[in-house]
Amino acid sequence: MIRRHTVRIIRKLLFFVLLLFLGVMFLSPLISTVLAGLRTDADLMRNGLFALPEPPYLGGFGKVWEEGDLGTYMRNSFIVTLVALIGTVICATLGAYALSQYTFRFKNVVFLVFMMGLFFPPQVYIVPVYFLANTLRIYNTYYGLMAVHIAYQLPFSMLMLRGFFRTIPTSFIDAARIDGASDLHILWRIILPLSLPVLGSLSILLFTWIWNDFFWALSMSHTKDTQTIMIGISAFRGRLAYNWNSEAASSLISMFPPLVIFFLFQKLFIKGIRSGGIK
Amino acid sequence: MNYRKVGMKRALVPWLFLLLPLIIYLTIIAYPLVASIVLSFTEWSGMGKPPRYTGLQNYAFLFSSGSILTAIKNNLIWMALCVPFPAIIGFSLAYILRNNSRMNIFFRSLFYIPMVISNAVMAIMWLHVYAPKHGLIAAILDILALPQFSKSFLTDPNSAIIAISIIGIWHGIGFPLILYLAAIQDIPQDLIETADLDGASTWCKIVNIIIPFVRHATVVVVALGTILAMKVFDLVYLMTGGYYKNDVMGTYLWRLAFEHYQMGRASAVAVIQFLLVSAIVIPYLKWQYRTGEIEQ
Repeated sequence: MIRRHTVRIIRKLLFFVLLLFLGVMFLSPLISTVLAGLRTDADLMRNGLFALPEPPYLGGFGKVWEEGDLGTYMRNSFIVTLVALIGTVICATLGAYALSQYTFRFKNVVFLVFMMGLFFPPQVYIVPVYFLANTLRIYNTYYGLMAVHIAYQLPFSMLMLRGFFRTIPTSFIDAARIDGASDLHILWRIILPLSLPVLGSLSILLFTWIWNDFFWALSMSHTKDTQTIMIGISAFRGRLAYNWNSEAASSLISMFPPLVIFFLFQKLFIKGIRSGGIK
Repeated sequence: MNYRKVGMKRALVPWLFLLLPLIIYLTIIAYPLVASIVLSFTEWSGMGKPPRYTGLQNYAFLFSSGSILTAIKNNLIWMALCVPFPAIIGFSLAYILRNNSRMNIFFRSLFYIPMVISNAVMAIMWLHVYAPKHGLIAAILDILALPQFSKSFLTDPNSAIIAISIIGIWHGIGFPLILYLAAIQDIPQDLIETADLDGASTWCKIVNIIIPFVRHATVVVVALGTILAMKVFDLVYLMTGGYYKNDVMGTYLWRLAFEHYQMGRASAVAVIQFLLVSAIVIPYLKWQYRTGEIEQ
């Protein structure tokens, strides 16, 4: 009996070690970035990545913050991401409400038109979007970036919310309607309170995607006062001089907000991905 | 009261709710999509003179220069690597980590992490994985005493797109892992127990019960992976130094438009990309309708 028990524990332990090894291998690009962020370039060059750390060097973070003006980029990222996120959630809620609770002519056409946006790569329409933004004088402004993010994230968000809104029992809504509630009242007082968890999942996904966006920032902005952090950190990349420490430190700064949100709300994040089965 | 008037009013309500999202979406996505198609038959530098109609010349150029074929080939290489491998690895991990023990939940989140890392950061991380002298791979080859295999993976056009696809695999594991996990956990327990009673081996159970049971997740993973393969842009743009042989359709289009100011040719690439995506999406949507995933 006892022997079988020990065998089981040993098997479990071996399994754990194996998985841990795999996990460390898997995350090695991230781990090496963290290590590089804690070592000076000279130290990295001389001793390599895996040398035993002397007292970790934290100056890199301050240095890139100053040199790369990361404060400005981070501010831009926060403004663009938060406003675009709120805008997307509002628009998607309105649209999903119409598409889930009403029957009207061309409903399926409208739905399919939105679905198209889900699938086509943004490069397919970037050229006209660029000239449109120039014409509307929103190229290289916060407004331009926010607008493209809202439009780009709308299809997925609407699909996800529509899917949830349809599961709300119609008896709730009919009862309210008989009581004389207006359409807006039904959305605000009945549907939204029931949808808070879904809206939470959606917001977390949207925050991650908009924050991490590179393509739209690259195409829709070209000066420091509008560019986001993802453009800011790319400025450190590809210089001829060896500056792994700066690249790593700035990368770590840029990924901090989505990573924190992910760890705080992991369950909502996963739920969101799951319900977005058709993405 | 006039009933017909009330009816008209009611019919307007959904359109009022749709007004804002439709305006934004139609202006920023639908209209430019159509405009791209029109522009693809013109010659235009983006400045000065308005677009001039040139018929199919842009398409003729693209196919005669062959660079569009190189780009499509690179998209296909990405697809061949980044669709099956994340699916297989994600499925295996989901099977191994299927029980909700504390340890499994911890390990799952390790594999989710790349999902929240941006392409810009991944580009930096992986440049140092692939860097010829100090990179992670070079260091490992050094430890294994095989330094002769270390090379510049990203500048060699034969390996660049493969090296970048590996990043795509790394990034892409989380999604199938989440979907397969949900699917595997939905399998009725008595089905597995019956198989156990019949003395079925683990392998037999995987092949005969689990894989058929999660086929719905497989379709979604494969279809979305294929569609995403058409969207590749950031990593290729950031990690290759603007060399035509490494371009995918997205970066090729971007460079034609914003580095060479050939909006017509760029739009022709867009139309080709549009057609290729449609060829994948239409059957997928049909399947979604058929299985009731999208209801009318």
